[in-house]
Amino acid sequence: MNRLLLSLSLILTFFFFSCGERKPVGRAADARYLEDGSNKGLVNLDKINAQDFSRAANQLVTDLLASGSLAEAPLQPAILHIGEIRNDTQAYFDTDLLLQGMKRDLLASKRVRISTTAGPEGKIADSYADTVRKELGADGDKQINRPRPYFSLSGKIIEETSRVEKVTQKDFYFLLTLTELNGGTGVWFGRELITKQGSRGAIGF
Amino acid sequence: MKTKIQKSFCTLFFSLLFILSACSQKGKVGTVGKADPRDKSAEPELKKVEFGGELEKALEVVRITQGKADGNLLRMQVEIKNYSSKEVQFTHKLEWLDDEGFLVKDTSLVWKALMIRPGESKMIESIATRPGVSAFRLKIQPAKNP
Repeated sequence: MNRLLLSLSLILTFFFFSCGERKPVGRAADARYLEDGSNKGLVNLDKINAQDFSRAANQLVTDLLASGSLAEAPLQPAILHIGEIRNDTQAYFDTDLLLQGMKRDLLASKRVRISTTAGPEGKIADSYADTVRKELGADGDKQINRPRPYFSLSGKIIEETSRVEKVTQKDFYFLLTLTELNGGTGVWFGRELITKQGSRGAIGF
Repeated sequence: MKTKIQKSFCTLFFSLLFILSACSQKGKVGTVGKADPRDKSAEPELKKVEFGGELEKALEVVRITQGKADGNLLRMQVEIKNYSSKEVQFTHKLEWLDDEGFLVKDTSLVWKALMIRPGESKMIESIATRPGVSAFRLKIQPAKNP
């Protein structure tokens, strides 16, 4: 009887441990890869994490497409200039973490073409392409066309902090404006808010 | 003595069984989509794969609405209701599929957190960023930090 109990306990213990996560060799060896957009990534209160940028980009693109503003351009697809997105948060990051995803989605939607050679001096996305185009244009190359942007996208990211006892709340506002260049007026005002609340960071959400 | 051993063994057995079942529910993902990917009606028939763990008892997909945005971009809205007496926290991810069934890699491929209060229903809404998209899958998983 005792033998039977022992073997049953051993089998159950084996099942119990095999259900847990596999640990790699080495005591502190726990580094692993996470897929893009995973819900097992770190959640920090004091910064914008990768999943936050993806979520904000997706929500803003969805809102922009739903507004129908891009369809108002007389020539389709319209040329879009990406202007300055100011980072007004306490952490440094490149705003392309937000913009690159948006550019990819907007281009894929076939509603806009994105200018990489238009913009103020020093803020052109591809300065080499701009220089070559200028040289070819000066040489009279007729293949160089200069489509004028119809829209410009600009904005800022703001951080707000609130605290009650030991609980901190961080609000990250992603505010974007689409301006129609002919009229000089805003035709879409995007707002995406990402709020995090807690007393310390977490792994996964 | 024998009864004591049997009693403690029973307790151990059921505790392990409980842990095992809880362990198998962890990380289970539920999926919601259209029964027929080519269905273009405004309220297509649902195809649901079981929700994970506790979510199955609490959440119900009330309906899926679909339409077109900005000309030819597929737009969808899924209404989810919490029928339980507790608030439910979960994460969800939307996957768009093109006409040939290939996964579209865009910014929607990210898990997003959502909370629904008892008796409340919420909408999950999105627009496909590619013109050739005809179907979608909504994945739902219990939140890690409820």
